[in-house]
Amino acid sequence: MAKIARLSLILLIITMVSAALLGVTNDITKVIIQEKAMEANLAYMKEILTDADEFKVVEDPGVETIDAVEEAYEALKGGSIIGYVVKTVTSGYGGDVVQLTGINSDGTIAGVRVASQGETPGLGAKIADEDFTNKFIGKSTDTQLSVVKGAGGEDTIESISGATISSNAATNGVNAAMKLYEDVLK
Amino acid sequence: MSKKRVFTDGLIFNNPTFVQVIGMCPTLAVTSSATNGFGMGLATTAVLIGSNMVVSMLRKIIPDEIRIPAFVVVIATFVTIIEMLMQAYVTPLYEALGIFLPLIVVNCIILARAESFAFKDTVFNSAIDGLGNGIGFTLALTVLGIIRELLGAGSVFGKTVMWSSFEPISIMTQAPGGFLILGLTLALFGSLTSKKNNA
Repeated sequence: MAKIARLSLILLIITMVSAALLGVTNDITKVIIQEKAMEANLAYMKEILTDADEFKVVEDPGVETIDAVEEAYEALKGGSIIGYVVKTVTSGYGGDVVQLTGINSDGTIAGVRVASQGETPGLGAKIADEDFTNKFIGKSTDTQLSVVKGAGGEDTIESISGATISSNAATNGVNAAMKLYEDVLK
Repeated sequence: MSKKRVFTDGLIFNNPTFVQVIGMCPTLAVTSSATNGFGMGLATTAVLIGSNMVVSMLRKIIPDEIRIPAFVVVIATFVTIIEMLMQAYVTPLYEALGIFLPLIVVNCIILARAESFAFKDTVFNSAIDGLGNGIGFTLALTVLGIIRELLGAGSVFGKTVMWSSFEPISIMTQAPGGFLILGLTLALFGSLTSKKNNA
């Protein structure tokens, strides 16, 4: 009985010290990590909507109503809105696919950037390549896009060969952004 | 055992991948590209050295009966702290490693070296053992990664090196290819080192 008590106590001390170290490290790094994430996203947003000089978070509770949408930003130039950027999170083959979709004020896609993904290198990871993200440029937000094998058309995106799930995840993200624009932001 | 022997054991004669055959899960998952294999190897080496040293420092304090849960707590804490520090201070490297960083916690090699070496030896020797096994693991992963990426995607470390009409054997970057290349490389390694031992 005493032995079990002693063993439990030692284990308790080890885990307490662990927890304390983890807590301290978390406190030190939490703010820095958040700032870095914001910086990285900001850089992408500037790439998509080059004319914008400021991005402001959209506070509208309607943002929460669309599946996969995490956040939306107004792209401002000189104080007036010239477009939007929507951050979406969809399920890919190897985890979450986080995308930033830029929408022009005329309702066309300005560009797409993949902020993070864990897809297979050489296959699904190609959703982050310019070759693939450029396919979304100019698409109209009024029609949801679908993925097809073979050349894409007005409302279809050509799937990456051998990476259907990844291609779907990327397209779903853009679709969610478009839906948010149509239903809430416009 | 001499310090040199401790090191070369981990590197070649008791190589975690090709001789001990442990840590197979992350090995297969990560070697679909050379960069991933190399990065994972380096991160694992860092954790190996650290956790071996901590376990060795605590070896007189941890009772034998609860050593496994104690090891697991030490290793998981170590990896998580390294993760948080990397995410804050070397963000590009952290992003490059991605999900492979938390995967290190479940890498058998770390637990195996803690159990079979660090718990029974001095801090300095344990550090060397961690270094040897870590570099041996990194070499194994990088070699496997180069082969699989070359055959499966026509590139090495992200740079296309095969001729443009080369049809990538895409199964090489997926699980079955991983097993195939691992098995063949393991056999090759075995025959090379047995010649060395017999010579």
